[in-house]
Amino acid sequence: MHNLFLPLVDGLGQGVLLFLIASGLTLIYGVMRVLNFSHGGFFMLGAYFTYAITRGHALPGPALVAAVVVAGLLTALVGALTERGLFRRIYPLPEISSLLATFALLLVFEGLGRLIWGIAPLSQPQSPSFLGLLHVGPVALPAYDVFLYVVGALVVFGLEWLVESTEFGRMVRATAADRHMAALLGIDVERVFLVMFSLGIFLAGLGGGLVSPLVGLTPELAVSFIIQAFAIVIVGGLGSVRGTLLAAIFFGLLNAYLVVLRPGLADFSLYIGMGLFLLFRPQGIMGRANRAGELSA
Amino acid sequence: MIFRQILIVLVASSLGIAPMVASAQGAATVKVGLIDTISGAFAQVGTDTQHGAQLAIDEINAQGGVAGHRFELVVKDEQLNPTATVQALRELQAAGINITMGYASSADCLAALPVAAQSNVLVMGSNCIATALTTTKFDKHFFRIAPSDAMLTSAAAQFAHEHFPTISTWDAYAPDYVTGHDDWNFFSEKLRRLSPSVQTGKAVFVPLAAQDVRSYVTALSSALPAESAKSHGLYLATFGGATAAVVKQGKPDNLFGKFAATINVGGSEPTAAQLGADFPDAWFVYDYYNRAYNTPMNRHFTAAYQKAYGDAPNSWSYEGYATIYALRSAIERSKSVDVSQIITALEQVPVVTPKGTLRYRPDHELAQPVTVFECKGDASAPKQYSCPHWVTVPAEKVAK
Repeated sequence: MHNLFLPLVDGLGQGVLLFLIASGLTLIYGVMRVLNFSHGGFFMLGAYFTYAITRGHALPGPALVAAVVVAGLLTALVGALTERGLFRRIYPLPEISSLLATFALLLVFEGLGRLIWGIAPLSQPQSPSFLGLLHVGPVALPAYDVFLYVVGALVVFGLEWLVESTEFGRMVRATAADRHMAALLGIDVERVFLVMFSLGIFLAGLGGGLVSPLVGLTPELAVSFIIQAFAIVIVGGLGSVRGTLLAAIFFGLLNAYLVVLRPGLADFSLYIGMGLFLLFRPQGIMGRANRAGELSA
Repeated sequence: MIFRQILIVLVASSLGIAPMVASAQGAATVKVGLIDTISGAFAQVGTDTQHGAQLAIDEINAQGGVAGHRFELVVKDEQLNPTATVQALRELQAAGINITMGYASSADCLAALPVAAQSNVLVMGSNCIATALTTTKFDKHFFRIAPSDAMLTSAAAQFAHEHFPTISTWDAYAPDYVTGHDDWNFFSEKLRRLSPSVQTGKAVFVPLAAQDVRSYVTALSSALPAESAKSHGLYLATFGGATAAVVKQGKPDNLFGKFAATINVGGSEPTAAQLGADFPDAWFVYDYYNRAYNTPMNRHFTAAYQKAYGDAPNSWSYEGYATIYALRSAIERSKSVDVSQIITALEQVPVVTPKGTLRYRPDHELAQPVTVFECKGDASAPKQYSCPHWVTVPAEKVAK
């Protein structure tokens, strides 16, 4: 029983991390209808910005958290500039064109990463505050995983509050439903796009910053999580934040349990999960309640 | 005039001396194609190989070249992609370059070799280590500089047997591909032959591209008994980012502290440099460590490399450097840059390298020692890690 509880802890940790990466992706698709392949590039920037801020030193917990948030904000700034300079021209294009354009941008980010931070892998040390284990009954939870759970919960509730309970959220939902009608009703659609795009990119940067103490930093980080993130967004139901959370946790748990119970299949967990959903629920977890990619918390 | 130039090229081609380009001012040039990964996640492999090769070329050219020829390096980025490797090989061949070196991975060497054999191109495998290249896929056009994976795992088992006799069980954390499984089996079998009482424990195989490896760490860690730190050893076969992931994600659970010793086959100093103070105490089993060889050539190489690039040479720099010196030995002996004659010479001539004077075996495997060196994170060290101990496992003990 105890052994079957351990994958639950690992799976939830994996799932929350994947959710943080994928949530920005689904947010941007839900409002702007852009499949943003360059999301992975922003994610990589968040990781490198964190490293640059900490100068590769192990900082106390609060300092690392502050560095990650600042890295997310810097990434959002880059995102806002990119939105003004490039994405605004992409919105009217067919999805295949925007996919190609954002893929090109992903390659640009990879190249820039190599140019700025070099080819040798870098390492962001973990904060000593997050290295321990928290004991809950018989189970030891890694402190950093618990921190990730908290961040994940904050992001979910924060986005839900923003989209469902604020005036701005109503404008966002109206814009997502019909941008032309929203503009006719006096909503500043360009501003909504800019804010929501920057928010989505902030989440990518935050995800990059949070993953930085767990992996080696190379420019290839830009592509390492993006396929999983896309799978999660599709399985969650395009544009649904709650669906993205459920899908991320589903994939995290599926992988963690396969590693223990069927190690030979663990490498295929992403494809097994996607295959199951494409067969039995192609619209995704929240697809029915969420009409054709309409934004919802 | 044009007719005369065409005639020279045709005559040169028919004599099999295409790599030589006559120069009106001085010696002819022998061009060596370096096909390696210069971009992407493993760019450091190709870049360091290039640095080592270029240093050797500069030294040899400064001494007047070899047999009347000056070396020149022509670099092609194969992006760790077998298709791009073959494309690069064809481009070099079209440019009249029939001597190649580098090749970051075994897949690249395996893809290139049939094409090279068909077109009489020499493949000096500086980096690729698959044993098949000198056994089941043997072709006379391939010569290896780095030790094969069989030699590395053989050395690892020998070292484990000699240095950790109190470890009764070895567990594994290895990449999930054919070589990862085969090497673990080979290590286990050789260790059992050397120490029949030693057992193998939990073996965890991790997908190559996996970044979030916490489940795999848990699978390994949870299989260990309470007193594992006294009796269990870890056979770690990852390198680069995969090692960074397991070290970082294993830290909360003190994964490496649960083993009496860790042997990292295929990893080397750049991994310790990347992780700095976070790097656990581990023994790398690899081609070269600059402090492990006390030869005049190695002392010179280390100093010259440090001066040229601001850092000590690593295995990849060594492999680039040694490849060019191996070619020099062969060209000196054959007094020719014809590929067939270089092959014959390489089979006969002693190859002078920083590790010592070595010889190619009939299977074109370089009979050489394998280097085992201990590195660990050390916050007080200038580079945040130190490598205080090293040994070499002699060539006769690592023969496959």
